[in-house]
Amino acid sequence: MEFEAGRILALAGWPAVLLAAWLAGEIAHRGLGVPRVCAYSLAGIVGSALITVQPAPQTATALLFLANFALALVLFELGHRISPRWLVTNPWILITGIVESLFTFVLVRWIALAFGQPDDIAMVIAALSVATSPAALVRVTNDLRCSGQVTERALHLCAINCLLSVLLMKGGIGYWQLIESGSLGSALWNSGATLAVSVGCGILAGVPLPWLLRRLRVDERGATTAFALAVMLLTLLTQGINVSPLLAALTLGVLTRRKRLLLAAAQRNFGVLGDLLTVFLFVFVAGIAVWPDSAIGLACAVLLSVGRIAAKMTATTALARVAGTSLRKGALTGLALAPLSTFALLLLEYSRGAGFGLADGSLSAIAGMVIIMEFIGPVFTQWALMLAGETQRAEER
Amino acid sequence: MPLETFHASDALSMGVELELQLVGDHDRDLASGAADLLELALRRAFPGDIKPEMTDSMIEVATGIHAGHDSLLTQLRTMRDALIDAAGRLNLSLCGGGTHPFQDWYERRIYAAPRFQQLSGLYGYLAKQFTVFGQHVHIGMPDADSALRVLHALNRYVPHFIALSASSPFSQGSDTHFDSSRLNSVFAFPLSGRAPFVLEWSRFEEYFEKMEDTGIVRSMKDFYWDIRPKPEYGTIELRVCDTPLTVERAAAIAVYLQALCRSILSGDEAPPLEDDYLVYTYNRFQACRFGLEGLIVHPRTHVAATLRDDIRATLERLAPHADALHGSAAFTSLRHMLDHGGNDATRLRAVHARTRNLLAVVDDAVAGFSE
Repeated sequence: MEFEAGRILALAGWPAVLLAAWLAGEIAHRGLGVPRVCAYSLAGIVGSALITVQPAPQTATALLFLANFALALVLFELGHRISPRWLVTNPWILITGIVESLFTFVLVRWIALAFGQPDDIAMVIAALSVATSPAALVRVTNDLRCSGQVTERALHLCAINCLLSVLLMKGGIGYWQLIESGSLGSALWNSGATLAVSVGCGILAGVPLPWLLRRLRVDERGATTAFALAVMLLTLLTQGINVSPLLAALTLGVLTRRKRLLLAAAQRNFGVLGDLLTVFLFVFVAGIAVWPDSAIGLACAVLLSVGRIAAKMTATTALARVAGTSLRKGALTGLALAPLSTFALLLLEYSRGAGFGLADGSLSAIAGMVIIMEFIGPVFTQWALMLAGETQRAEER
Repeated sequence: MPLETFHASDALSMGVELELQLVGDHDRDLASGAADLLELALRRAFPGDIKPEMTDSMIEVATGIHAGHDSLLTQLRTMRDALIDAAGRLNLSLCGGGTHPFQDWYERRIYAAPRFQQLSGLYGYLAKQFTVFGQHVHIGMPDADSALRVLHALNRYVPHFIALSASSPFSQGSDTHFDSSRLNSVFAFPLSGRAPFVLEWSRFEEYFEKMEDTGIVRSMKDFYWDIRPKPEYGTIELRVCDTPLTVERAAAIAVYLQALCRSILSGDEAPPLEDDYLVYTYNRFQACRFGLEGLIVHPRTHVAATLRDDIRATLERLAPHADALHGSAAFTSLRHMLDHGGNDATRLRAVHARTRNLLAVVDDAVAGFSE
């Protein structure tokens, strides 16, 4: 009987957690006015504490694939909203993105070093801190049906900082491989060629797909399904050759938008498929995060989180006027960039798969920051967007 | 608040107001950005007047006072270029058109200003549905009585302006089969329609006082009439036009009104009668529904004619007035429109027929605005 109970728990445990997460999300959103994704993360943490049965290695790989696929869909949607032309018309947006990312990197690294983290781990923590979680940001803006400058700028800066985070992370891995193996080729492959191959994969799918959909006169619903399948294919392909599925999906999103193939309003977030995968993504990611094991660890996490948000807000506020908005909206844009975690943790998981030995050490060091920002980040985003008057919720109230 | 004294202005001077759409770059839907655009446009001296409108996806710009077509068009172009420049920095596009083809009225947000919030409280969902975009033309009048006489004498020509400017064939994602569906949103307001038939300013003041006593109105702004007097400017204001897709068309329509007013003031037209309004609503419907192909009935002769033919004949008759006002270039462009492309509604429908895509329709409107 004990064996049966364990087996049933292993089989039904996670689906039950997903259902509970969804319910908690609805209660949080409608009843408490808290972003749904915060509740999903909470359910993931509780679930991982209750279900101690470890998945088989094949299952673990499948789950990582599913998480990557879920996040790739989000990146695709983010790419869909990105306007490269805006970055040319108003280059201060791009400059803000770069300055904000680099300032975050420098400040977080300095704090990590001050807390006694080794140089290489501090560098990885800093690289991961640069990225804003696109999943949380896109989900919160979609849930609240946001429209306005803070929304627009936060989404563009998120795409830029994710890209730079990958580059910094790859640079870090490349540096580590150079130290370990002395192989400059391997280092260059990791930092430069991976980026090129990832973007190349996105282009490979992004050029023929719009042409094909136009030829077949596929409707918006059909196009959304085709986009989802293309993203799935890209995720499998890029994961197979150890490059970034996220950058490939981002590239695909940008390219399809340029061809004026848009996700219909009803299909934003990829409809029901997107809803389901978002619940899974946040539960899964929260499940692999761990609490800091000491008071100093927790203090470090709090300071890293504060430093990270301060860096982002300082940069976006300082450059707000030249970038064409008010200081207030600049500061709110920085605050909206608070969510961390999904992207960072998947990068970390990925780098572990790539054989990056420092990842485990980084994981425990960054864990506290992840836990904190898992809950507070989306709330900050929601506050920022409500204070900017860019949500429908603010209007309805 | 009593009705303002009618300030005489330079007769036949003109000014144009345009309500414009703010369109998002990523999905071509209406985007919230009026406050940001205002802030950015006013950082540099904006070459005209700029202000918010009912919802935050709209912006209204107004020219100064002009005597002729050339200076009016120059200012409209300068304002347009300044707006496009500012909007580009905010990842927004601007366009004309009386309606946005597929925006969802429920998604609109009332602009954060006391007057708009108060109107939203009064009119409920009508306020959000009022996210439609019109061109208003002011013509200077020598005195108040002349203003009322011209206002009512223009009744027969109101369908002309609807048909010439019509640019709202699509609404809420569908072809409405109207050339100007925008005016259907305006009709929903209780104080819309036509001004009361009084030809002396003293009687108009009595009417206003009575209305004010009822508590329904507080100022002339509360009347959404097709043409209304604007005593503080010393003008009459024509409000039936959709915002055209180009500033060139907007200027040409203003000159057409200017020439008509000149003709009326010089005594070329028979004095207006209340019975002229018997066919008014029917003719206006024909113009909204069928545009230049609409069949209107002359209020005196009861002869039916298509708007295209009636406008063509009127342009012919007004040509000396246009020449005197240095507006013949505007008349040439209107004649070209009648003989070739048709109105903007026809243009937008052609884009949709070719692409089967409402996004392409917005793309065309955006391109048209910067032409």
